[in-house]
Amino acid sequence: MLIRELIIRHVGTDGALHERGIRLDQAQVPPGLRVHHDGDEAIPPVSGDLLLVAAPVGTGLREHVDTDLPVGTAVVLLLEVEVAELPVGRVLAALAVARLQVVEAAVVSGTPAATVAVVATRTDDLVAPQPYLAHDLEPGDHEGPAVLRRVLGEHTLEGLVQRARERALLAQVAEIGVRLGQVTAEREQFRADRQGLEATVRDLEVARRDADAERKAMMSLVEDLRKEADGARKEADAERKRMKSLRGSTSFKVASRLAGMSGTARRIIRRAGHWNARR
Amino acid sequence: MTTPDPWLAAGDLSYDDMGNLAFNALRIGRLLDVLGTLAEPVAPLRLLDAGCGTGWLTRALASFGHQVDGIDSATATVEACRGQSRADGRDHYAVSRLDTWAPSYLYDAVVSVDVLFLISQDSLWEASVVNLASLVRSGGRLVLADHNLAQDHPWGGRQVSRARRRYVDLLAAEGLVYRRSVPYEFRDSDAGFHVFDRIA
Repeated sequence: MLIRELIIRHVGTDGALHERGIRLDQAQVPPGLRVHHDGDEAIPPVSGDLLLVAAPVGTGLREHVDTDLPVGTAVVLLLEVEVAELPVGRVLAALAVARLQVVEAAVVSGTPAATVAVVATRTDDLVAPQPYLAHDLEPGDHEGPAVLRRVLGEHTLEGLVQRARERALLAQVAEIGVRLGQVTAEREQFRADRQGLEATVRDLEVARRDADAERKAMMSLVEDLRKEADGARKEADAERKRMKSLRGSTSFKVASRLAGMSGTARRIIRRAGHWNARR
Repeated sequence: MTTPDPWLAAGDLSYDDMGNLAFNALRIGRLLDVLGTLAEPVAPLRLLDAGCGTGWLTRALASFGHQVDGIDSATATVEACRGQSRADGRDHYAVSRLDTWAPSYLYDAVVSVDVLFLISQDSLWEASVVNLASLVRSGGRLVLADHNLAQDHPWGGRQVSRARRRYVDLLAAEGLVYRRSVPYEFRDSDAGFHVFDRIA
């Protein structure tokens, strides 16, 4: 809820706005509303006026709440605090001393820091709780002590149940914490396993690279040998061709025949001389 | 229409899909008028959607920053609602009849739309209304959808709209005061919301 909305809801018909510890932007002030700033001591609040008080949530809170306000003035305490951390006891004590009764509390929108607004009215009587859902649509009413009985009943029972519910929620949180610890440990184990597997993969990668290098060397060697074999084959082919050409030549044929004839002559000579020195 | 729309899953059988889409959008608007527009997500109002059916209203109310419970007596329906529940945990579902739901906390507002006139048995209707009223905190609001009639009116053999007076008298005894009836003002519909506040 915007501060502007809070002012509109709680300032009296002819009331003025008194700013304490805060200076609202003009756009946040409802049009036509008289505004008294800090230091305007000569103009004390009167019934119907609204005090907008920016107060600390620390121990100095009481000093920011006027204790001599006239009946019928409203106070909007702006407390810079997360709503879940509102110091309930301190706020109620500060208001009670000033005879202020809480009539509304809301989270303030549009402020740079988390802010809670506690709205109280100066009264010597009991102000019955008003309907708070769309309550600007209809006037509030109540059935005297009956509403008080109901509120007190709710306060008592909800107080008891809230403690139990809070305890149950804390137990749930603890259980979730334990489970989270287990999951974290499992995750760490998975991480360690993964690192081990990654190391294995890295080793395998190195081995594969070594094998690749070895394979390449072998391929190179095989290639060299193949080239060498090709060379030798070509050389042999060339030799074979040369021999074939040689054997086909007339000179070779003549020489061959001569050599054959020479052999025959030698054999004849050996038989004739019974020369058998070598066998 | 091939794409299922969450608001099309409920409405009035006498309207087509687009008619129900408009009908439900309008009803949410009317309901926001009744419940107020002061939702505060970090400190949400706690609401009950009694007889949530497909959960279209539960999810819609949760989308405005409220914390909403949806209850329904049909297990399969509630399971379906849970399957569509919001990631931020603002809507929560349970299987329960309207006359037996008894959580350990009170609601800022209890809403029951398109349910009470489906309960033909009078004693069950009465027990349901009384139980829902018991769940509303001081200053909180009870919003019940029905036709705004002077006399009870049966619809065929299975539905009965109760006279507004019956709601008012029943709830007065429970500490709730009748505020007004908010008609849907949609086409020819003469139904709407009966609005009650807890004052005692």
